[in-house]
Amino acid sequence: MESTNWLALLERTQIQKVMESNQYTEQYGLTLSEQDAEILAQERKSTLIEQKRVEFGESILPRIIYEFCDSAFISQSNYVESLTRLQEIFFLYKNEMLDEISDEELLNFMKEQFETVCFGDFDYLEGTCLDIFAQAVRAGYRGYQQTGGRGEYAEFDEVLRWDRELYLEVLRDLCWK
Amino acid sequence: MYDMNELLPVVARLTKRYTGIESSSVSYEKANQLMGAVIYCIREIESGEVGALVSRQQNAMQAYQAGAELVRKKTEELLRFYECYKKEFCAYGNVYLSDFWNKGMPAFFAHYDEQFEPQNTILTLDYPVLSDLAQYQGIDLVDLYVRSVVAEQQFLAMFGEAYVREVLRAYCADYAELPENLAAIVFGNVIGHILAGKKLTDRLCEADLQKISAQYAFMNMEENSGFQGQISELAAAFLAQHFAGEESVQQYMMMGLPDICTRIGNAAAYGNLDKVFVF
Repeated sequence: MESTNWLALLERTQIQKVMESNQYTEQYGLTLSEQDAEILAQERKSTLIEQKRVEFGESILPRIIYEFCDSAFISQSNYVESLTRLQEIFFLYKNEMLDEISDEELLNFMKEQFETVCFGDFDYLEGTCLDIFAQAVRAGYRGYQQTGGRGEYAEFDEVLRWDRELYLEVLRDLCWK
Repeated sequence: MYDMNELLPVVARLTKRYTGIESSSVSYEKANQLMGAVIYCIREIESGEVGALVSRQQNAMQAYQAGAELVRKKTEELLRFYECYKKEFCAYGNVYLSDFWNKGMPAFFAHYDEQFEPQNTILTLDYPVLSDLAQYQGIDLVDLYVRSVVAEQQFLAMFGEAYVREVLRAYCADYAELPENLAAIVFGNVIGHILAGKKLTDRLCEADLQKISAQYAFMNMEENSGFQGQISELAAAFLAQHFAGEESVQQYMMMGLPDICTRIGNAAAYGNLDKVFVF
């Protein structure tokens, strides 16, 4: 019979996986120390308890790291804080979407919105984009299954936004003509 | 039983099978359900007929896999058993019995999740059977319940559908929506005929009920269990004579006897035997 504490072993493995991600993320100027990895592991535990969720196998954190490491809005100075926030938002919205959406679809949606509509604003990502999308998913929307979570927000966006070409044309008219 | 450290890897593996590559996490509710599934399967193998053969040296994963296979086999076996008795089944016009057999059981076989939620019985089992199945759940409960219903069917078939319906109609005009055990009603009436010394086809009259009341009064004076003891003996003899070789039917109907005896005793005490001996 195994005497090893299975949960402790799992946690160690997860910290190792997070440290391994440095090999990829350092090209974007992002690295995590062992202490950072332990802080993130602790935050993960707290968030999972708060959201009443369980991870039995590989944690979602390495995937969050690989997905967001090339973000224009994440730098070394806010790296740990950003990952913590992204973990919280991720687990919150897995619940809010009643587990109807896969990890990959949710991460794709989050990354796309974070980089475009949200301009790196976590509050906007959590409180607006994801909230609206979650309402649609709860109401039965499943279009993201075909798109993988990409290009979905335009259909639900309540804010009238500028078309890029139109914006540049108006700017030219105002400033140069 | 295995401790949490041994069970968690089994639950982890089952969770991975449940979520596929779709999700790294599950809700507490889902995790509880999957843990329940693992424990149910392990208990199947520990408490079943082969339980004595299960060595404690088997780890939790091996015990779970053996138990899961047992659950799968039981479900297949129950389906075969149900199909076998499907054609000759008769609900005698009772909606609870009919709904269970014709709607409930097909729904059970369509939706029973033997892999991820074997502990969920799914059905409400509104029709009351004579056996006490409170300690069971999942496939074990449904299996025993179905076998109870089939034993009742075999008991009632002996009297013929027309006779059974006559007795039920005499018991309650709205017997179609009566949430009571049909076999107990018919058996109670049979016992009345035995006590009165009359053939089943002869209706009991007031004189017969008075004769039985007098027997009750006489035997009750001597000892409390005298009347009920006599009923039990007569009932057992009736079952042994008419269901020789059908031990499952005899055993099943004997389970209902304590309640039937109590009802007859109470009815005799309050002069309401016509509520039990109805035909």
